[in-house]
Amino acid sequence: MSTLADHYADALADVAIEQNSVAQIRQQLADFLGMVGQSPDLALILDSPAVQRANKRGVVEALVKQMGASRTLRNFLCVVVDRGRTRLLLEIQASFDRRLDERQGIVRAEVSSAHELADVEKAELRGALERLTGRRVEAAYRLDAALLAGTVVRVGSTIYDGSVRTRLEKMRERMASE
Amino acid sequence: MLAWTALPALAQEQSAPDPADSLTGTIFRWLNFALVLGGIIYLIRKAGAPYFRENARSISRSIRQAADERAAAERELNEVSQKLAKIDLEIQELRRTAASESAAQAERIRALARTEAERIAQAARAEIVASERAAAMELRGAAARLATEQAAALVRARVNAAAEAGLFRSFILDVQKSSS
Repeated sequence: MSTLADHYADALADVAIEQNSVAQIRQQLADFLGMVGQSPDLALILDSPAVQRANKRGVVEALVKQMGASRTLRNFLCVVVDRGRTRLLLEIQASFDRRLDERQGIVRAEVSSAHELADVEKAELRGALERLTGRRVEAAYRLDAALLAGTVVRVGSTIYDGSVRTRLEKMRERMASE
Repeated sequence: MLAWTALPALAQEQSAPDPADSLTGTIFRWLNFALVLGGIIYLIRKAGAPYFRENARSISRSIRQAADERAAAERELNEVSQKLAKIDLEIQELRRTAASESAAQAERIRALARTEAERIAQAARAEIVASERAAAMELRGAAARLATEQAAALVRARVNAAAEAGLFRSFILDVQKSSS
């Protein structure tokens, strides 16, 4: 079911793809929301119904100018402010990322491993995941010593668990139930 | 009583010579006395006979009534005696009944006690079995936990690049199997 945030995200994705500035807008939107997230006062100004929209718009324009962000992002943020939807910005960003990924045939994977994977291993894993999903894989890697050894990959809601921790846990359950 | 009332008059007559003291007088006095006595007897007979007859009848009725009451009392006494005689039998019968009922009740109580004891024993056996099973499970769980903890410690201590590479290779194969 499409939400209000999805509509805004769709519109921004349309413009970004049309202008061939997907990565730029994605990054600038992330930077802008990062600034808002780091400043409670700024978040309060944007979210408060007591602050007039013209004033909010002025703040947004000043920030965008300071960031050197694109006119597209400036216009989009002004539309959001004018329509009083600043509270939806985080949701819009998440939806925007998802929709861009869908349109570009990208699937995101979270890869956890007990030790740092070599570039060859990362490439091999990405290849295997791309064959598995039929889409381009953008993977984020992190270390997790609690896995003991092995690798865990999360793609969407699916988890591929090759960690020793999980194998030991299954072994413990089998031993306890026998 | 009439004789006594006549005595003072006779005493006064003796103080002075009186013609009545003559033989004729004496005879007349005795005649007079006889007439008065006869009158009194007549009156007594006439008025007293019905009274005495009635009194006699009353006494007779009382005697009959008393006889009837005595007979009734004797009948009651006989009945009571018969009842008393039967009471012994009834008491014996009651004792026999009570004894048999008591025995039946005791048997019922013994049966109930046996059933209850069996039920308690079964519950205790079931509880023992459940406790044994729970203890065994707990023991297996503890053993499994210890074994896996030791295995994890061994893995931490001994895992090396070659082992990691082997695990990674195995994982890639699993992912590839998932896609096929």
